[in-house]
Parts: sequence; structure tokens; C-alpha cells
Amino acid sequence: MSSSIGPGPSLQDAEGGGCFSSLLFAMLLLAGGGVFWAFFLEPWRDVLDALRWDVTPCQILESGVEPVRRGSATPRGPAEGARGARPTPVAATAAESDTHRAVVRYRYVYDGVSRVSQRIWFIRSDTGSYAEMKQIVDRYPQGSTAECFVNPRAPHYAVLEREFRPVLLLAVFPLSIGVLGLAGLLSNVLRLLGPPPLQRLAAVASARTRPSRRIRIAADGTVTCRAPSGAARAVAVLVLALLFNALVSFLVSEVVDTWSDGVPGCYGWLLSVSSVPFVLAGVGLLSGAVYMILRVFNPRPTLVLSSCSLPLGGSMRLGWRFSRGIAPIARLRLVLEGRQETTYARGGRVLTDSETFRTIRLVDTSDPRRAAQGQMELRMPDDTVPTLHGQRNAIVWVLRLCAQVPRWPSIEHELEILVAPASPASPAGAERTAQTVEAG
Amino acid sequence: MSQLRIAMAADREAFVPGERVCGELSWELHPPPRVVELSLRWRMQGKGAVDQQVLETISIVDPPPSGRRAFELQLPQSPYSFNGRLVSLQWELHAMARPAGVEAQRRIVVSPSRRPIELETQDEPAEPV
Repeated sequence: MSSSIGPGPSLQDAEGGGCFSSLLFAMLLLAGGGVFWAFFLEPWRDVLDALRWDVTPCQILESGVEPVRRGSATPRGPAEGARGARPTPVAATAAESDTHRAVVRYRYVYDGVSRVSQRIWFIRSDTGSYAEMKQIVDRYPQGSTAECFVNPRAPHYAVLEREFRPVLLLAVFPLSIGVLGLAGLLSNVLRLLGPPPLQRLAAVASARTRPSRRIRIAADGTVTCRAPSGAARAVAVLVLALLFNALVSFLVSEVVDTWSDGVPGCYGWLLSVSSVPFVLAGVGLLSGAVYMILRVFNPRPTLVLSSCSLPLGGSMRLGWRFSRGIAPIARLRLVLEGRQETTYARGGRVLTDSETFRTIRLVDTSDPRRAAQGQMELRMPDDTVPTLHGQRNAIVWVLRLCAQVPRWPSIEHELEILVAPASPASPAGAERTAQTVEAG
Repeated sequence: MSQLRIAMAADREAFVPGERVCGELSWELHPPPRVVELSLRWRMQGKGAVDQQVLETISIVDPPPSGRRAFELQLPQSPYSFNGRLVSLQWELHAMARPAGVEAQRRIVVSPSRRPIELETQDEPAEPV
């Protein structure tokens, strides 16, 4: 006998995977965001901001190409002179090196103060091949006059060229990595904000997993399942919300900075508009954390089942009770749902579709005393299918509890039970036996 | 022409769980196969991969080029045949001659009602507590 059927997903697996992926997404966010912040944020800001900088005449004091030695930025000697500059002895050795730097020193007067700058563009280290660097310095011969662009808020900061350069597009890579990490983290947080994970008694009953600390099976077969408090999830969301908002606070302070001198320029507007989704996400995360913390103080439900499994056409005792909470239960609904689930891959992602095919309403009461505690006989119909777990497809039966507390987040708890095939003693089984005899 | 055929006893195609499935496997294969196998299996099909389980296999090693063999296979208590919007399960008898790869299959229904269970959306009212 061969089989391709394996164990279904367990709660422990799902929690472990979530923790690992959160860590991975956080690392992606930090790496991508860090590289973008360290190398690209300021040049991008300057390129946009410099459209409003003051155009100021300047005099070129020095213009040349110097080799960059491996492992050191120190030039071997004076820079090679550009057009009109004095020829220097380094000219011969410069051509031998692979990487070169353009060196242009210029003087400008701003607000009556004479200043010297070496900045050609916003990324200071202008390096490349000798020919490329020569092309740059040829535009600024020594002793000539040119125009530079001075930052009015920081007059010591000036550049000779302020146009957009394709090198800035490299920012797309760290930015994409950072956005991927952020999206992954947010999706994990949204999952945490959802209903608590399904507790799988069916997996325990069929010996596919060991009982968790919230599911206890007594010697007489009675099963007690207490809903999780949600405290760990609330703390996780709170920590993520605080971390995310700490990052967003840098962005907000930058936005405030751009507005401090009145209506900002192109960069200020772009930054302000692009920061809106991050601020909204931060507010959403904090709201989610508050919601989850409130949920921790809800009454905690406990379900008590007289047996580990329920045969089709059979019955079991089902009891429920709540721990003391912030307020009494206003309405309790308890249903047994049959669901068909299928897991498939699409676009590199693994998705699970689920559809409820049978809903058996067990309890629906608004009487606080009845809602707080009770028990009933749960009778399973015999005209349906038992639990079945494949690797990709499954039939699951879930006890779903939903309780409302006035002016407080609602309580949700799900427990997957094992629905077994009809036993020969049940009416369906008796019919089957008769048919078998008849067929024989 | 090579052929492999599964015939069910009394032409039955529907069974209840736990019942025995009886029939006859016949073949006429040129060149003669090394082995002819008959398997009882179910396949659960969803949007993605198929889950399947082979319950029992009968192997006929070095059979003559043509012949017939009666079989009797025991069905388990579950799963049942069902049709759902997302997931469906079918039972079948599958025969294969190796190494030629000649195949035959016969779909059967396994459920207490001898009809595939339709997983249609049903909502039942609450009982009084």
C-alpha cells in the first residue's frame, strides 16, 4: 500500500513560519531602508531641492583628473591639469590607473562671503574611467568662470551641476528591498490582527500532532480547549507598531523640516505626499495594537467536549464557559462548520481557499446567564462527509464560537474537531451493514 | 491490439464503505507484459495538486499474453466520494500493464447512500439551548 497523504498543517508550524518570515522581512526592511537612507536619500533630496537654489558665478581654481589607488582614496600626486591648466608629472601615471576622480576647485561669493567648494554634483566621489573624468573637467578649465548652485539655507554647500543623473535610479534596488520587507511585515501584522489561529483538535485526535498546552485530554476522553488570551500577539503587534512608528518619525521630522521655512519646494511636496501612506500605516498599526490589547481583557472561552472525535450520525456533549472578563457576554453564537480547503501555488505564492459547505447552528442566545456557561448535545448529521486531510486539499469541521461584549472587541475562537466516518452501530452504519449483507 | 479491461460484478459501480468490490480483470497484450497491476485508490482534486492514496494493489507477475483474473478488494470505512466547489473526491480501480504502459480505469462511488455527497452550502437553524 502506498500513499501520498501526509499530515496536515499544525498550529505550531504556522506560528513558527510566521515568526521566521517576520524576522526575514524586518531584515529586508532594515537592509533596503538603511542603504537607501545612507546613499540615496540625500542626493535625491538635493537634486529636487536644487531646482530652487541660487545661481551664483564662480571662478575655477583647479581642474584635473587624479587616479584613485586601490584601497585608498589618496591621490598619488597633484591632479592632471585640464585644458588650460599646467601640465603635471602625474599625467603619465594617471593613464595607467583604472579608476580616476575629477577634481575641480572653485570659489564663489554668496551673501558677501567668499567660499571654496570642490563639489561638482551631489554625490561627491565622482569616479570613473580616465576618459569620463577628463570629459567632466574639460567643461571647467582652470582660471575660467562658470556658474554654481548655492543652497540658500546652507551657503557653504554648492554644486556646479544640478541635473538628474541615471545613477540615482540605482536607488530602486534598495528601495524595492525595503518596500518588500515593509509589505511583508505589514501583511504579517494584519494576519496577527485577524481572528486567532484555528486550534486543531482533529490533528491531535488523529495522532498527527501532540496536544498543545491549550488542549487537554482527560483519561475519560473529555477534551478541554481554552482559547488563547492573545497577549503574545498583542505584544508582537505593539512592538512592531512602535518600531514602525519610530522609523516613520524620522520621515515626519524631515517633512516638518521642509515646511519650517514656509511652503516647501518640489522635494518638500514630494516628501510630504509620499509620507502620507507611511503615517497612515503607522496610525493603523497603533490602532490595531490598542484593539488587540483591549481584546486581551475579554472573557476567555473554554470549550469542553465529551470525546476526541464525533462520528457521522453520532453525538457528543459540548460545554462552554467563560473566564471573568471586562463585562458579561451580551450574545453568544456557536456553530459547527464544515469547510472544504484547497492549497495551491500562484505567482510564486502559496494560497489556501476555503469555503464553508455546511453550517450547523448550535447556540444563538442573548441571555447573559446562558451565554456565560452551558452545555448541549451536539448531534452530527449522517448525510455529509467526515474529516479528511490531504497534503493540498482537506475537509475540516470547525466549532466556531463568536461572543459579543458591549462596547468591546468581540471574542472569536475556533476549534477543529475530528468528524469520523459513521460507526456500524449508527443508523447510517446499520443501513450500510444491511446493504453489505444484501450485496454479499 | 493490446487491451486491458476491468469488469465489475453485476455491473455495480456504487458501494457503501467497508464493502468488498468484486469483478474481473481481463487482458490481451502483445507482447506479453512483465506485470499487470490492479489498484484500488482514491483521488482528491482541488485547485492545485491532487492528493491520492492507493489502498490495495493486486499484482499478476509474468502473465500469459491474454487472460482473466477475478478480484475482490476491501473498501475502507472512509473517505466518501464527494463533489464540492473547491474539492472533489473520486474512487477508482486502476489497472496497468508494465512495461508497455497500457492502462484502464473504472470509476466507482463509495458513500453510505451510494451516491457522491454534494457539498452544497447548507445552513441549519440553532437548536434551543
